[in-house]
Amino acid sequence: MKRFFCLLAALLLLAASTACASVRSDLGITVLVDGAVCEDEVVSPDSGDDLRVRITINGYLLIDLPFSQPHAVTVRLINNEENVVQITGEKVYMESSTCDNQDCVMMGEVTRDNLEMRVLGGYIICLPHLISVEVYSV
Amino acid sequence: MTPRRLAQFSLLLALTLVLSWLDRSIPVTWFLSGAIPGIKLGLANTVLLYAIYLMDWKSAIVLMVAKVVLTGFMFGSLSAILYSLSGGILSLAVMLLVKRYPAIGALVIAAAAFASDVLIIRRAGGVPTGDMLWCAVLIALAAVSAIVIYILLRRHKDHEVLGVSLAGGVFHNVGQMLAAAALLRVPQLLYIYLPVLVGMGAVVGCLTGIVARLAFRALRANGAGPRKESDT
Repeated sequence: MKRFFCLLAALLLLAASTACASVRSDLGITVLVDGAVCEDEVVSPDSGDDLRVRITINGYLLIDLPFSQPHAVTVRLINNEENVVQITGEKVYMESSTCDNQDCVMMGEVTRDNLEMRVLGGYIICLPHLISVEVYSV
Repeated sequence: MTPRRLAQFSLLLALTLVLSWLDRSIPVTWFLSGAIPGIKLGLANTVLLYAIYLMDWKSAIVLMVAKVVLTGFMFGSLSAILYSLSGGILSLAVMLLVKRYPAIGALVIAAAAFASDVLIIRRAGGVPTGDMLWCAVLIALAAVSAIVIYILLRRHKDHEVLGVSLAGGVFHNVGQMLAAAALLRVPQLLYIYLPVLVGMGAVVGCLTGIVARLAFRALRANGAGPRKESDT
């Protein structure tokens, strides 16, 4: 019986942490593109490019940019956590992240050539921050 | 809960925590995580296997939840708890299933193998989905692997740990991937990355199973290991 109470307590703790994790990512996000803040607005200059880069957090679209124009996108979360995505025109990579496992930084870069052959396809994903960067063809 | 039981349980929990710390500090994972992000050796799974064999399933569940929550607070973040809990629940359920009913377990593993084969081939862009011959070949391969796993599980009681561990490794990754795809709302992840992780899970699960078997053998020599004829 006691064992089950123990289990129940652990599960409750877990539910609370779930709530924390999902709320944290949805509130108070700032997106900076090349230093300028853009709020509540999706920047998508039309360039006739065949590849685009889409950055989402928790499934919500933050920004959608053409692949071939250089940009530096900083996504800042509510507790000063931030991810910096570099779009150089040739490649896209996660420059830095404040997450605890640096998987997204180590995932390497997406270029035009390795889009099909990369293990993760056109995705760069930061699991702790729920951020996904996707290179997709239009 | 008798004092003996309590002592056993806390010893196993301490061992799990130490092994998960070891997992994070083994340099092999640093090399590999560039190529295959998120890969881990999963040494702590040996303790879980030991709990499945030596204690009952309830203790195994409590041990798993305690391990996930504690390692999450010690090394990871809150979201790490979520991912590893979802993987842990699924893998533990499948491991218990495989141990109890080897036939169903073998079928489940074969189904996972079949699905990941289909996904890999579709991703490579080689075969149209409607090609009957290829489907037949894949189903045959999956059936062969199911039979092999079943024989492994049934005939050689000594190798049973290996099959159980393999299933656990595969389904730990499946569970984590499901959680990640649900939280990120990127369902494409499932068919891009899941096949890779299923394969890696099988390899790593086999390694863990070998370690667990060696540990069991050493413990049995000292009269402390799980009984030969496994009772659930």
